Amino acid sequence: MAFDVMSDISDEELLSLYASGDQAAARALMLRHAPRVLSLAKRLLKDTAEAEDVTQEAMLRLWKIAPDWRTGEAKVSTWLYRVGSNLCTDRLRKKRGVGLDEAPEVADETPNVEDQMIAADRGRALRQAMSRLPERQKLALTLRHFEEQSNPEIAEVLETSVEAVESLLSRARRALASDLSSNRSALGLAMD
Amino acid sequence: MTDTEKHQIDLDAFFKDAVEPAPELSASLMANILADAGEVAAARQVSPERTPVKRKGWLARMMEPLGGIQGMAAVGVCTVLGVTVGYAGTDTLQSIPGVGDIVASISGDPLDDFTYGGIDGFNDFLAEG
Repeated sequence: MAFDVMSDISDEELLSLYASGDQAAARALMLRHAPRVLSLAKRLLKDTAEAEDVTQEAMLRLWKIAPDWRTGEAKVSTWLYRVGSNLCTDRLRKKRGVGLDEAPEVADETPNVEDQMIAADRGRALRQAMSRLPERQKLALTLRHFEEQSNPEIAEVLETSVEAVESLLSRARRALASDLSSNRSALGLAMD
Repeated sequence: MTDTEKHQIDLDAFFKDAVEPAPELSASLMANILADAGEVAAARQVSPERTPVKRKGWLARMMEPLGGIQGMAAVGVCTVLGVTVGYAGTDTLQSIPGVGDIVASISGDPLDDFTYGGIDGFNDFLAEG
């Protein structure tokens, strides 16, 4: 079955089709979800090769669990975010000796126009400030602001309560604002 | 405007500037993911989930060397018959239709009319003990 034919099929149905041997369903699931996992992993790991490894591993786990998938218990996207974020956390913990702050920034290819440069500088400053946050705060912010997940969905990924997520996000925003404010002059950034 | 509100507004602008387009999957990553999907599916077909073998109960395992339920049934019938003959004698059996003739033919001393064809010494031995 071609991917465009499968665009109206739910994730759970696609998983069921894959489990019964339909490889086109696997392709549809990959095109639907792997970019999200890759995006999250790139933001957390700041390393494209490692982010790709995490994405492949997360999808592999999805293939393995497909026959046992329990319909209605979890969304595939949330499940993949959870697996992906856990894999990233494991890698970050292994790398902790190297120092998270020393991790290379993702190359910024913004065109050399003044406004865009300012925006790029602010984006870079934010990413640097986020890299200094505790892992769970960083993950919660990433899911909320870049992956556009709701608080209940983030709670499911982090396996905690919605209230805990709200608290986590609040603390993360305060820490970020404080970090960016204290580095404003050093960064030469306008805060408004 | 409170400090918190100011921070919130400022952060929203920062987040907006930090948004990047969703990354595209490289050809090699897509190939690897699909290869994994194929391998997992193939492995599942080669070794389908085994249906659990129903374990036999202790009674069935005990009866197995004696021929199972059929063997035990035969043993049971013979036991009942033997006990009946032992307690009631062959007279009772003779009253059972079809069994009486058989019992009559084997009752008495089975060696009375027995000869071992052509061997006199052996026949004398049987007669004299």
